[in-house]
Amino acid sequence: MSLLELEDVKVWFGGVRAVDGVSMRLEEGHLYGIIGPNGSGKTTLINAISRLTHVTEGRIAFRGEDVTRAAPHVVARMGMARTFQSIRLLDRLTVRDNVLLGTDRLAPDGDPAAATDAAIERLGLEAVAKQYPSSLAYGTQRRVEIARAVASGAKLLLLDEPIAGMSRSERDEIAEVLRTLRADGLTQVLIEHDLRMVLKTCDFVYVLNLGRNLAEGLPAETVSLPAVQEAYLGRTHAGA
Amino acid sequence: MSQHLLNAIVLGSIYTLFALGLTLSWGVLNVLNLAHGAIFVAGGLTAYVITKDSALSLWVVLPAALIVSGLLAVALEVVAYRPLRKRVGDVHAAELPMLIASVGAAFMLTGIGTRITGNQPVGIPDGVFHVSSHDIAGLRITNLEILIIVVALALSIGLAVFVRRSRHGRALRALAQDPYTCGLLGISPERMAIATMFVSGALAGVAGVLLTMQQSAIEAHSWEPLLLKGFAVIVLGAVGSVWGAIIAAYLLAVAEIGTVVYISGSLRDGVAFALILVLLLFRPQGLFTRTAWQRS
Amino acid sequence: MFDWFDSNEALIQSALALSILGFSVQLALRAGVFSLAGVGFWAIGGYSVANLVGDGWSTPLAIAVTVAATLLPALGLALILRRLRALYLAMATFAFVLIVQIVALNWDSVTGGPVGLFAIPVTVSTLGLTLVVIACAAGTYIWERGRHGRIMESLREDEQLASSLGVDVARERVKVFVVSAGLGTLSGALNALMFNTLTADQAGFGLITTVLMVIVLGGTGAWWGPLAGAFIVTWLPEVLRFADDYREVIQGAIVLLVVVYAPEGVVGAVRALRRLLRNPLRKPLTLKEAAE
Repeated sequence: MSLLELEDVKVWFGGVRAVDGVSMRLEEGHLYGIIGPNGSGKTTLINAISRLTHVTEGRIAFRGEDVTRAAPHVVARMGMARTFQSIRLLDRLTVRDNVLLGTDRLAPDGDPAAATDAAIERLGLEAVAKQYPSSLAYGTQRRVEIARAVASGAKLLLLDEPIAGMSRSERDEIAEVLRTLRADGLTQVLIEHDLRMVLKTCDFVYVLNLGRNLAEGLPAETVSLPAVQEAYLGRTHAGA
Repeated sequence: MSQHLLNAIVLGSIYTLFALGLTLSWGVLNVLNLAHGAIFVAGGLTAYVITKDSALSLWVVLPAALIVSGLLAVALEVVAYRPLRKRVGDVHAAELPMLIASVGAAFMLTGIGTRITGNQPVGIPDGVFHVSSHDIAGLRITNLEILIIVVALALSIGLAVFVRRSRHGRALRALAQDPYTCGLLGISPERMAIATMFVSGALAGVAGVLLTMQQSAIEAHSWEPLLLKGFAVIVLGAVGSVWGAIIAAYLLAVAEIGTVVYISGSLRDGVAFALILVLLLFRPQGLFTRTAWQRS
Repeated sequence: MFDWFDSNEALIQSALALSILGFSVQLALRAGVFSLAGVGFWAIGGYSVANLVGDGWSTPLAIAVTVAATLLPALGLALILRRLRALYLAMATFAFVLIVQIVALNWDSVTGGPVGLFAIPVTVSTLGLTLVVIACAAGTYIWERGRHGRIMESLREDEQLASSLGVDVARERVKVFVVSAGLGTLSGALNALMFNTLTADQAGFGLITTVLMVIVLGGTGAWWGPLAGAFIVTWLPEVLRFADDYREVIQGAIVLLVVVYAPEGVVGAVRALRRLLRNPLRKPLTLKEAAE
């Protein structure tokens, strides 16, 4: 049983077919990349998987259960966590409290404090645990978000363009974090534009174009497929 | 029955003038301006004050009231709403503080109004506009009522067309969507905000004078029953839609008169409130969303 | 000191009863739920207990049953309004308050119509009221801290995030709405049994603006905000007695100025003062201190 299965998922908004037939099978323990030119439906797909958006047609199964119509908090409690393109931390809470927020849905027998401390340590945030998000560097804030997901005991972490706007060193920092988490057994899905990042971190890559599957496979091979190159280049030239 | 319909049209005309200001400030500037009622009363009180000792012509009184009310609304924008938007940053997060600020302003204006009127109903001398009654097609109507209908329709339809067709109207719609981009496009959001508030207040001021003449009196607290009706109108008509406000105002007036005549007079005010609830439940975007600026 | 207490007892009672309504709105606003429905339930609570106690019910029972019984309509209202947010929700709850007022004005047999109810038995003592207020304050303190406090914070700041973190946003909002309504009922019930009269005009726009003033002047930043706000709002007319004719004007001006320039109310001012006292030499603050 795959951790996450998408069967011909379509997400339409009136006349706009943001996602128009995407299928995927994600197995536990791997780091997947989802790439594709602008407008290929990547963010909408993540929103559909995390249930922030309706699914018009198709099926999504998480941990063996059909979650196509589930509410966002339901899949979250089942073990799905995500980050958004913008940093979404609560400014009035300390780093530690922000991470604690992730544990607030842990089963009653979980230990929130322990999980939080473990996550903070794992992500190297001990030094800033008592600070507030607004005083932190962008890369550090992103790490706090990831710590929040880790502390929650999530089985699947979806990351929507986590390194946009970051410096080269910050990007490498995050890449290292993701690899560490993969070694810990966390399954991750990374939406990214930075192909270097994808090639460095992902085990497997799905390419989307115009809301549909275009290609999939090992990163290096898939990225160099002519169809994939054309999708990106064609887009750039047409001005997307 | 036609007489009742006529009364409803007159009432609807007042509601239109009153509601237009509200729909502008909410639709364009995200302000639930609870001081709007007090500004409306200020129009009537201005008329009272300047005609106390000399019976000026209506053509002096109306513009005077219009200007005073318009300026009061602008003052609110400059003293309260603008600083709030600036401090809070996010225009939606500023909604509650702006609401509360408008409550404070309503209190202030009502307090001043109470001083001016000595807490008594006051009116405008007959010399300002001599009211005469006429019989047209078997219906009784006064020249004042004709004036009210004409002014309301002229101003409201004029505003609707202006907003739809003109460059300024487009600028207003841009402002409603995205003040920041507006600025980048060379449209000054601050100036548009002031203009919007001025128009909003001015319309209320005109309505205040007309209602004062129609009812022969006005009090500092006269706006209280009217304010929620204003909101019923704009919710019914779709917040931000001028055409919506016009049609909804007349619909509400008809519903109210109908309730008074066929059900019970004391439930009259309840019509507006029930309308608000029902609409917000089933169709919060109003009846005319296509022409409205407002999003969620 | 006891003399002062005696001569000001009525004001103290007013402030205490008002503070419970303040807690009602505080709880809602801090969770991002723009509900003023507590004011409508204030009226419902008052009329209900007045009738029950008048029929011979014991006071604690009358209050308990009334609060419990109104939880159901509150739940109904919460579910009906669940899709509304921000100003739309505020307006809907405004409308609810005014509809309650109209019902009160017309339902003569229960509410005495426009004339209202007089000679309601006075069965609540200042001590009893104080104990209830302490309970509410303690409850608010607990409500706003720890895990629950974080969840409320997330509801207000970023609903979508909260939902992606496993918070059942819809259910939490309904819960907040209902609890807020219950506090409103409690406030109204105690008020009626303390001041022995209840008229429909007490529970309309005027009370809405009063409670908004409580929130603004007190500040929503801490559990004691509504208490501070209620006392200020109750004492303000006294303090402003010298300016008798201009009282309304000054009150309005204070609200306007506070909300624009000192939005955190007394709570914010006290915190600023504490920071100042801790740092009289104006040393540069550490981040932790600055953020407090």
